[in-house]
Amino acid sequence: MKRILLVGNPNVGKSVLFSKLTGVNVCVSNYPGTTVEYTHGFRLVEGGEIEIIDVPGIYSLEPCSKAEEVAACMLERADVVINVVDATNLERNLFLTTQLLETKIPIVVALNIWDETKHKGIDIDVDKLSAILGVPVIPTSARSGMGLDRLLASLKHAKVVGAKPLTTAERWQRIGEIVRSVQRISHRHHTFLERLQDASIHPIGGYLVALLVVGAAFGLVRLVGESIVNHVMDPLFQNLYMPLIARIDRALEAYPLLHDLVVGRRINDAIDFIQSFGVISTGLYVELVMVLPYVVAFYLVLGLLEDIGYLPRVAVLLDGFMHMLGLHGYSVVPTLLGLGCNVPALLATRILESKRERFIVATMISIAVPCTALQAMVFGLLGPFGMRYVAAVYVVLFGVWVVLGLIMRLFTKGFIPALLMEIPPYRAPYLTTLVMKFRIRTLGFLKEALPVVLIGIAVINFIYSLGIIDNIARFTSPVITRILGLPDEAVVAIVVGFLRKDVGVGMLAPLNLSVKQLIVGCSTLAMFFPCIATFTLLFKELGLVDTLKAIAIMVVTALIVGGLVNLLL
Amino acid sequence: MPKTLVELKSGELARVVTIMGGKGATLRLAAHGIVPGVVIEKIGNLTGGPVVLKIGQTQVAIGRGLAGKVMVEDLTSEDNGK
Repeated sequence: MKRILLVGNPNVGKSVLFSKLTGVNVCVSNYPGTTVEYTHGFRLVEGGEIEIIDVPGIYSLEPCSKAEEVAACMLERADVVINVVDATNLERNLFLTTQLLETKIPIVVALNIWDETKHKGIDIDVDKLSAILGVPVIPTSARSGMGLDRLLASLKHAKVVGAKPLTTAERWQRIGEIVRSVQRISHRHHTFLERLQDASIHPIGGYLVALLVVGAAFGLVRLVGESIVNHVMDPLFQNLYMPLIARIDRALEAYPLLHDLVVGRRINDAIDFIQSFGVISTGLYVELVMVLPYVVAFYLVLGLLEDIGYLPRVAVLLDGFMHMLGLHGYSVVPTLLGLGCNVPALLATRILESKRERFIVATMISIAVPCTALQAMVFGLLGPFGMRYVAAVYVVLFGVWVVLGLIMRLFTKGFIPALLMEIPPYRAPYLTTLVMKFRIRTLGFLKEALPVVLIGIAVINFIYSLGIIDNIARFTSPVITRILGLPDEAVVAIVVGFLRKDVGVGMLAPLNLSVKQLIVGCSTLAMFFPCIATFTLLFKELGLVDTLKAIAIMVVTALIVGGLVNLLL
Repeated sequence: MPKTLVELKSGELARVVTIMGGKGATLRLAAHGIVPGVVIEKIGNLTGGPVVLKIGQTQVAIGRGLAGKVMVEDLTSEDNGK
């Protein structure tokens, strides 16, 4: 089977082209021996099946990051390379193209985003470019599907050029010559999008725009999440599911152990979705009613911001601030992802260049960035007492995040690599990729979370019935009561928090805690041990020694800060 | 007189003269088209933060430390006859 690689700079529409070429049957794989991921899929072309691989976006074949190293290795196994080039940005893209032409692999160039060249007043002589490069050049517009058939048909005309290797200076000179002879740019006025683009990185306007965007995003997540909870999921559970639970409750009356495991303990003579703590009562309710709607809302809003191209601008805006914490602006992106779920956030730290930076960001995320599931539960628990108490938890966590950064900057050696990144132009979001990403993320959450929650609740109920919990509670009592000011049983919540943070917070509900205790409990739980999924990944990404360090920092931080909050409030 | 990208004012055009950095920095900058001889336009400057440039059709943000290593000659001032 022929193996076709899509190779190109970041932000050239490679992924859209990939999804148009392969359809829905795609898988995400790890490149052997590394943690860098790539997607691949299949397509029938003239009777034969070809494999199409979407290689991570790179600027150069001389590797500067792990992703670029992998991309360079993958090239060795290619039968044909489709070099995806942004037609609105020919000069910068040709750097990689000219390097590819020096390899021994047959090349075809896809001149993508072709439809936008007209609006931008760019005119490219495609035939001349093809003649100069010595390989087929096909104008494409992945979004509309224009040129894709021609692109596939051109694969058999792909050519090995084997150009003479150039030095960097010679290369840019050569590119200058090529661009001058094939491209004409006519002058035109700034469009509305471009004005908006300038405003979003303006020294003052940029921060205003960012505040507006973050405020709007937060508001939107809450609005969408709350609407789904109040108008869809909760009525569904109360009206349709509750009668079923009530019947199971009566049917299992004769088997107390099984009864408590499955539907949980009766509260005021009936099963309560929040407090009963059975696998099919509280387990399903917490995950599907209290948490899932917010996760859905978060991924909708995040996908939208990503697709428009706003996130890199936040990174640029906050670069100065992040340097105070010993990081550079790009660490903002994994951190924002962490507000959804810490697992993909840790995966995203791979784009950071130094090991030290990855350690700091990963530790800060697992301690002080609450995931959507946790936040939803904090809202559910503290919200009824007033929004200022919810805000208190956020203030505590943000403070911890800043202070941790400052401290870790002092104690970890190494320099701060400078920010260097392209700011992609704003683009209208593309529904197909938006839906695809949203589906992968939401299903990923359900697959990751639901089994752990259900099994976790079963295990906890079982341990409860054995009386082990009481022993643990007695043992940890001094810490929990004296330092944190919480009742002994709260230790269960912390233990459960290791499985799932949302369930952990949920376990504080039946304890009749005061507002102050709830604030202490929620913020301590957020900082303490990461959930098991995060822990596993932390271990994979950082290795044993650094994971132990990170865990030590977590436990110490959680106890100190939890104790302080208890003292000060 | 060559100056650094940080010293260049927003809205000014300049030609890159040299990069006062190691091989790694030079390579990273080169992949984004920042090499001696190239004409760039400075678009913005965030207080204490990165410098934003326009090279051809792309906008690139460069952290302040790295931007201080890129020496450029100011084309706008020369046009004014300074």
